[in-house]
Order: sequence, then C-alpha cells, then structure tokens
Amino acid sequence: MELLGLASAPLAFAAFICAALSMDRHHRQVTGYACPAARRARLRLASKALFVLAFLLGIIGGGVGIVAGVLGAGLAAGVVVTTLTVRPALLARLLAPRAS
Amino acid sequence: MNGGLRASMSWLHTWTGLISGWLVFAIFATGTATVFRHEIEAWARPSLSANPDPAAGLQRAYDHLLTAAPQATLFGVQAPSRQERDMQAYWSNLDGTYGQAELDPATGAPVADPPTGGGEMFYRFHFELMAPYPYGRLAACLAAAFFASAVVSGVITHKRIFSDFFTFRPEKGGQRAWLDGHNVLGVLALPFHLFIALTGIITLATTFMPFGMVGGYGKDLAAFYADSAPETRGMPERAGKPAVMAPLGPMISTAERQLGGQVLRLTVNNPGDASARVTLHRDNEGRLSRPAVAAVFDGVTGKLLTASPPPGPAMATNDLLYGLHMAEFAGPALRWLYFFAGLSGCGLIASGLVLWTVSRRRKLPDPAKPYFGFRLVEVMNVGAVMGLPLAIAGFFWADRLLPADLAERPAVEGRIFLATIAATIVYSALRPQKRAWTEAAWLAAFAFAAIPLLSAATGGRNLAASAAAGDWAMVALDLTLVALGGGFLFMARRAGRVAAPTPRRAARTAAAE
Repeated sequence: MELLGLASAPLAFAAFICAALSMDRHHRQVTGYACPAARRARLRLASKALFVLAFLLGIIGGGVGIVAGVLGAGLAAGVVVTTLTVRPALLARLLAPRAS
Repeated sequence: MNGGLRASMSWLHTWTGLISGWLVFAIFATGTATVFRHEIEAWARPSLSANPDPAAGLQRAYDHLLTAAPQATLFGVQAPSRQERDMQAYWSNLDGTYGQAELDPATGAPVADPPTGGGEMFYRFHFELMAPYPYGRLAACLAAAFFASAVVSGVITHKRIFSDFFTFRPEKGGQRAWLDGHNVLGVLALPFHLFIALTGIITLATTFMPFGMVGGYGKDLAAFYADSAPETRGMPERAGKPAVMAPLGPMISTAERQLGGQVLRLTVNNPGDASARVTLHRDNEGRLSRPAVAAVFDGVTGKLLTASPPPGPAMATNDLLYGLHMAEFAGPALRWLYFFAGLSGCGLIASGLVLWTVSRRRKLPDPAKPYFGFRLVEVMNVGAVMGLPLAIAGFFWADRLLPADLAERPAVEGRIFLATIAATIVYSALRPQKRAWTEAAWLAAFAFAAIPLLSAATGGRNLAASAAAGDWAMVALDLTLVALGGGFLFMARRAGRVAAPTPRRAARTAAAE
C-alpha cells in the first residue's frame, strides 16, 4: 500500500514540472521567454492529467498510500523548485524543439 | 493590527511565530530525530544485532523476568520490531518499588552496553522538553497550537500562494530570498505541517484538554483508563498461591491468530501466582490507526480469556490521529519522507525567525547597535537554530565519550544536551551575529561529520564494519550524520559570504550621492 503511494511521487513530480513550466515566470527562468499560449494549454492539461493519476494511485493505496502520496508530492515539488533554481537547463531540455 | 483580515493574519503570523518559534524549532528538530529513534538506540548499543526475532525475544525476556524479578506483581516487555533491536522491560514489586531495563533479544538479559538515553531521549524531549510533568507536555501542546495557528495565518497572509508555489530567488538576496525560502518550505510540506501540529495536540489531548475525561469520570482516572483498554478490566487480586507459568509460545500463536497481527508487547499481572494473567498486544504494522488491541490469557493454564472489542468511534478517531503522528505504520521509504518533511519544518521555522530580523535590520538607525529586543531575538535565533543541532550532535559525542560506569549516565547525557543549547545562547550573546552564525555552523559541521569516526575510534558502531555486515540501517544513520555535517558546512560557507547590513538611511544617502 505504501509503495502505491510512493509510486505516485514521480507522477506528482512530472505534474509539478508541467504546472511550473506553464507559468510565464518559470518558463522564462528556463527558456528565456514567456510560455506560448498553445504550449501553456498543453502543459496545463498534462499537469491535470498527471495529478489525477497520482491522486488515484494514492487512493488505491488506502490511508497509508495517501499519506505516502502527500508527503511524496511535497518532496517532488521541492525537487522541482531546486531544479528550477539550481539547474534550469535540465528542464529546458524538456522543452527543446525536436532535432529534425 | 488594523487593515483587514490579511493584515490581521500577518500580525498573528509574525508574533505567534516569533513567540513560539524557538520552542517549536526545538520540538520539530527533536521530532525529526525521533523518526529514527530506534536506529539511534541501536547505534548507542553496538552489542545489539540486527533483525532479532520478536517472538523468541519475548519468550527469553519472559523467562528472564520470571526468575530475575520474583517479587514482581506486574511486568511488561516491548519486543523488538522492524527497527527496534532491544526490548524495554519494566516491573513493579510487592513492596511498591519499580524497575526497568533494556533487554537483549538474543539472551533476554540486560544489554551489555553502557546505559544511555539513546533515541528515547529525543523522543521524550519532543513532548516533555525535559520539564516536570505536566508542565513540559503543556508547553509542547501550547507550542503546537501556536504553530498550527501560525501555519493557518501564514496561508491566509500569502497573497499569491499558487503563482508563488515554485518561486525561490536566492540570487536576489536579503529579505526577498529569505521570504521566498520561507514560503516555499511552508507551502511544499503544508499538509504535513498542519497534520503533524494538530495530531501532536491530539497525542497529548488528555493533558491539554482533560475536560471530557474529567466531566465523564471525575477524579476516577483509573476508570477512564480501564474503559480505554476494556480487556484489562477485572484483573484478579494476587491469590498468594505459587504456580508454574504456562509457556508463552502457544499463547503468542493463539493471540496472533485472534488479533490478526504479530504480538509485540506483553504484560503479566501476578506472575508466578495462581491468579496470573498474560496480556499480549498486537503490533500495528502497516495500519494507519494505532489501536491498543490485546488478548488476555490465564497465565497458568494458557487459556484465552478475552480479547479487545472493536474501539468506539471516538477512540477509533483518536487511534487514527495518534497513528498518523507516530508513523509506526511507515516503512523505511515513508519514514524518510517524514524525516525530510520534518527537516523542511525546521527550515520553515528557522527561516521565519531569521526573516524577522532581516526585515527589521535595515530599518534600524544603526544596525551595529540594535535595541535590546532585536538583539535578544538575534541571540535566541542562533541559540535555538544552531543550539539544537549542536545539542543533538553533543548527545552522540557524550554517548561515546562518557565513562561506561558513570552514575546516572543517561541523565548526564540529557544535561549535556541542555548545557549545549545554553552554551550556544551565551556564545551567541558574546559574538557579533554573523560570526556567531558562521562559527556555530562550522562547529556543527565538524560535530556531525566526525561522529562516525569518533564512534569507530571508541569501540562503537563502525561504518565500514556495518557496511561489511550488511547492517544498512547503521550505514544509513552514519551517512545521514555525515550529510548533516555537509549541510552545516554549506551553511557556514554561505553565512560567511553574507554582506554586513547597512543602515537604510545611510544606504539612501550613499545612493543619492
């Protein structure tokens, strides 16, 4: 049960990354320019979908799974903040256009 | 305090945070250490080996106490669990005296290591603050209530909680960086901070809010505790007829089938007497709730007499909230998450305390000569935020360096813990602030990082030997201590680079020129 809750942490991490990058301030921090509208919409949709999945995984894990999920999500958000602050270039790669 | 809800909440947040901050920091820091209290116990008792068998340990302790405490009217033993390597035993004698001992599960006899407060000291300090009963517990409850109100008022104060969710700008320096850091630490672990404060109050509810208990039972507290554990009602008086006790193994097997979990605690009333009763308590591993589920046996025939009925709604709610705070359900990964969330709480409180001085320092006419209240906060900030980690490290040093045969050794460890905090406050008062922070952080870095070396050099746990033996809990503890030392080293270097503050008026004049 605990494992299910912990498994939701990577999903929460991905959801937080999408949520952060959909904000102009953090998109600019990573890429140097504001988030284009189409990308913002895609990132927000992905963020919501990932959050729902993370939440469901925690729910399936029962009470212990929810506690693990909530704490894991907090840690995941902390990692996103640290990456944005210390290594924004890592996140920039996620948004880099595919090489043709 | 005028100016609407947000301004009122800001006022409340600032002052509840400042007034209770030092105490809450102490409670949080020791609470965070308490997550690994069983590992700290094991570290302080190097003769104990990993993965003891709980049932075999209980049987050995049972046999040992039946012969070692023949005058006991009652004895109890807490078996080793996933994390615990020792067994805590207590007994009361016919003449009204009490005794307690740490037993080795491998032998059932007292552990061979010198007496130590171990992780239990941090656990006790966390809610009793080494103060007499009930004052320490009341102070801890009040501090938890202040912290909960500071968290709620902090959320209301925060104007853009979602847009600032990931915002941390250390490059801006000064008040902005501290405020960002404070907000980020507060928001990321917000659910943890709220539930740990509220469930912390619940764990001491009968001390802090005894009104329901007093209203229902008056002064008959024994009746309250009997109703809380109904299976223990009706324990017979001592018959005075010696009898041979039944073997424990079959009783444990029956209790585990009946209770649906592993037995981890036993209590024996009237041992060695015809009226003997053996109560076996179930472990709550993997369960969020922490009910006291037990089965009672006739100690002479080994026959099952009664088992705990399901708890009522109020008790079930209490058990759930209690369990959430104690985290006994948590496996290693979840315990690490509790640890990190606890560290984030320490960071939140520390950054809030520092923010109070940073935001006011530039408004001082002369930052080099602050008024008394400001200076007091500065001194206490260093005393609490650096004193607690130094005291924790001091405990580990004391455990390794105090003579093994010292009288009241655990109490001396406790005194060293408190004296280290007091010494840090005095040191902070005698040194310029920046130097006090930097020097205390250097000392903490050394004190933590050197613990594994000290331990190996003084015959304690040895990191290399632990790794070779596959004792990963001890390896992780040693590496965590080294990592904490690294964290304080980083802090010392950053604190050393912070520019000295300039008075706002002087800065404005310089800018105008």
